[in-house]
Amino acid sequence: MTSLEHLLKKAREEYLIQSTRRHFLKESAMGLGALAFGSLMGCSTDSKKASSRLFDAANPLSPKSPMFPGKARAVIYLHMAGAPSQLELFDYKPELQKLDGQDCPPSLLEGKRFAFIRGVPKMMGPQATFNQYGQSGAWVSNYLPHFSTIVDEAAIIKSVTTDQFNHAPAQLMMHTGSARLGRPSIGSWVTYGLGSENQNLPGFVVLTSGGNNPDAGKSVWGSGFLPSVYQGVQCRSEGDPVLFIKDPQGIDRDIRRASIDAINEINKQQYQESQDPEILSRIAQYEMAYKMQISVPEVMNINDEPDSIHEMYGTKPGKASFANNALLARKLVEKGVRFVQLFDWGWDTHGDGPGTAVDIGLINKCRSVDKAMTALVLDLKQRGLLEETLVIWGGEFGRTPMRENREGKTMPFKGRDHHAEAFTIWMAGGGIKGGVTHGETDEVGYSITKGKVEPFDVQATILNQLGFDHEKMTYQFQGRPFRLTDVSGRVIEDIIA
Amino acid sequence: MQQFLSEFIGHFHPVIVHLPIGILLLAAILYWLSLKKRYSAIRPAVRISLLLGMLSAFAATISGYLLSTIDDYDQGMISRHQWFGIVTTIISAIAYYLENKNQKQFQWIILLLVIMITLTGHFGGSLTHGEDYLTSAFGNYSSEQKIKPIANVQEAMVYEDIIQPILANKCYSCHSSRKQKGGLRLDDIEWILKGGKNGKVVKPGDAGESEIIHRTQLPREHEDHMPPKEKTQPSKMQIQLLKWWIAIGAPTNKKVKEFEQPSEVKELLLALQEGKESGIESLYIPNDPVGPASEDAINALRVKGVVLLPVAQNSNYLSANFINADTLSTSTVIALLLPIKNQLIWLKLDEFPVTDNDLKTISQLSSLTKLQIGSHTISDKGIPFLKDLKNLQSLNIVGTTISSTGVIQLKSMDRLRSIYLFKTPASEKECKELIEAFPSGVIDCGGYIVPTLIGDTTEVKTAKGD
Repeated sequence: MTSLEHLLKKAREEYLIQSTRRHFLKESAMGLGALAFGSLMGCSTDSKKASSRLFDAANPLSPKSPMFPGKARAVIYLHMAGAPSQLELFDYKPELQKLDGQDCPPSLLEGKRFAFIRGVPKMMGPQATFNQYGQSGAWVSNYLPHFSTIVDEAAIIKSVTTDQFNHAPAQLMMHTGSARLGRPSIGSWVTYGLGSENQNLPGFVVLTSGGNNPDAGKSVWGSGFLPSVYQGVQCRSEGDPVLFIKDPQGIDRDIRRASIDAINEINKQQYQESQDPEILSRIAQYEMAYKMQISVPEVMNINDEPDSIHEMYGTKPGKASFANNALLARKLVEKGVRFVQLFDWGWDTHGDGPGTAVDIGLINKCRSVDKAMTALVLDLKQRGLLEETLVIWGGEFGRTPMRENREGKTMPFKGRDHHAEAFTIWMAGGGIKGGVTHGETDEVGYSITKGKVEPFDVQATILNQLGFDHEKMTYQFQGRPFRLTDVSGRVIEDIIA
Repeated sequence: MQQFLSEFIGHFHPVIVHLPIGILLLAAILYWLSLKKRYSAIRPAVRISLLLGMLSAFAATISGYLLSTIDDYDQGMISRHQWFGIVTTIISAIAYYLENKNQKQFQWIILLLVIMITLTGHFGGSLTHGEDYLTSAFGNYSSEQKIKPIANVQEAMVYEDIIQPILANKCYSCHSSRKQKGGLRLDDIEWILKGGKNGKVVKPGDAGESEIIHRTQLPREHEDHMPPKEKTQPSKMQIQLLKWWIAIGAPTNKKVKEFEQPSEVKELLLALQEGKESGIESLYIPNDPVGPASEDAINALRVKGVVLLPVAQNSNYLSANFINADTLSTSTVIALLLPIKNQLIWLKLDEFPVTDNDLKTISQLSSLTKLQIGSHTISDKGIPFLKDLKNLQSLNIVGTTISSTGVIQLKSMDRLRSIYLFKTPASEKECKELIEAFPSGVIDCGGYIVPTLIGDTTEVKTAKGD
């Protein structure tokens, strides 16, 4: 045996010794995985599966056409986290005033559960004064002096109901169609369906104000089982819009480019091996992040806006506020972002302190958003954007017509408990009829008597305005097609222009 | 109880009827086959088939009679089917009797039986599926006519020319001479006003309280929704016209011009005149179909960063957005739009630096319904070109330097429904003049002010105090 042969034999032996059971399992698992993957993706000819058609792993955010011509091109969703009181803002109940201070009738309590109310609470009349506004004569309270001037642009829905009376599940319900974690948010669905019009910006941006993130956390803008590229990108209106967006010291743009190229090259090799579409998403995200380093600071800079616009919104550059976020929302939509989600925290008016009293704290919360949300609608309008941008304002549930009596005791301030059965939201623009009030509640605003609307219906309507049939927009997951609206949802035809 | 039994047994009729049809026809076939020597052995089966056929025919007759007492069908058609059914049953009994008696008569009675079964079956089918069901394949269908455009809508009859065709199209298949589901007929004004067995359906003067409107507005999956969810639904426009007709008192024999027409109804009526079934083109999409644009032309634009998309997945109409477009050679990129001029209906140039000269090219994009230009290099010189865009419905020139003297020239473009003029040089006074010069709602000069109230910058500290 020559030394060379000897060496080769040794090498072979060494290879066999080194190949452990782990290697074997890994390789065979990969093989099996590839087989399964092939049967899942490769040979599918089912044209009904819209999911495989919509998702292009190499370019997941490329712009796409809706199923049918949509009236809206973009959505701005203003969520007042904590749930504003419909009884102090929109749902005027003079009858409730008459019952003020009286014991709540047992018919409203039997078989019901509340987050904090125990025993027999007292009824509490509206703490605001109401008037009718606009040609439509919509009722709005004195808490929203600015919004009352634009009621003819909006459809006010007084009959929304949910089945969740805690913040996190109720917020998830509104935004993902399920009270439990794991479903994609509506912004993700929309980005999955339409992609991003601007290739330098994400399709789905989230802005928060009020000092806290919503109780449900980032899941309300998560992508659930959709490819992660569709999750909302949270930007800040104070400091750097996105953390670590600037290149660190000593790294210039060229080095950044070169390093991203290198990373992408490695990722591509890994993709060749494993065929995992998430890797393509990752490559696309690196590219997007690189472009965002320039485009995001540009679009998130409100300093260049003229004084008249700052005056209109009541913005203060450099501060984190709802007003700044509202102005940013307009700028983002102008630049082709599909879905802008604003969360404003602090609407949970239980009355356990002045800040959460419906006659103190709620007024201040209203003051912090009223001017800006009114300005947003009017600013979109004057730019010709309102007809193609759907604006939604609302919370995750409503508040009780009873005064909260936590632990059965009288609270120091006037507050209302969570109320899932009835609450008010409004929509404007994007093909929604202005000056319409949809639905009614009973004379104390406790339950819905006409035109019931569920979160699924709101979602179905949003998708409809964007040009999607909520029953056909699906994603294949765990062996079945999933929908945002699950097995429910119908478009609120009454409010569509 | 009796009602319940009738209904329960009656509902078996559609199942049972197939038995006599099949079995009696089989009996005839077996009989004719057995005349051949080769198949003579099957002759005994004829008698058994006839017996079973006769019994099932009897069951079908009973259940059919019970069904006729509870459901709402046209009486004329019902009695025709009923008597043919009874006669067929009797004939099958005679045939059974004659089978081993008189061969000569038997062969004729079998022939008669086949004819009777065929006719009875056909009449029954007409009852459930409609009289034109069988012939609808020849294109001569009457129940789903296309609504014809009306030459002069103001001179047309409200009920006869506008409302009746809608009802004929969407309601007659169940509520007319043919069938009166729920005891309701809608093919004559008298019947319409009379209502069905659940009460009146039209309350003249009050569309909101009219059941016929209410039913169409129910959620589609609701049991009482009309038309039933599997039938074609009336368009929004049709419902609105129906509402209008009821609101003006459900008149007949009156012309459209005799009544007051709210602006949205006026628009619908006009759409009717132009033969647009689905109503107004609120989405800025032409009704006429168009062929696909050339792939090369589309790719040439995409390479330049233009976002070019069909307005919907199955549409050939295109929208173009220049938000990421390559600004190095503006005129060349704009010229690339020409090959897709038949398909391009929405053009969003954003702040893409086009000049008045480029508008000359853009003026050839004759299909455009929506145009947005935000470049400040556009001035009044471009206005004559814009006027060539005959189909334009929405014009957004926010941020351009077009003056009010330029805008006023656009008055001749009668399809324009909105012009956005924010951030243009027009003064407040000029804007007022423009707003008056154009139809209401067309001009939007922007510059809205949200005043700063004391409350906007202060906080409330105590209840009922600022």
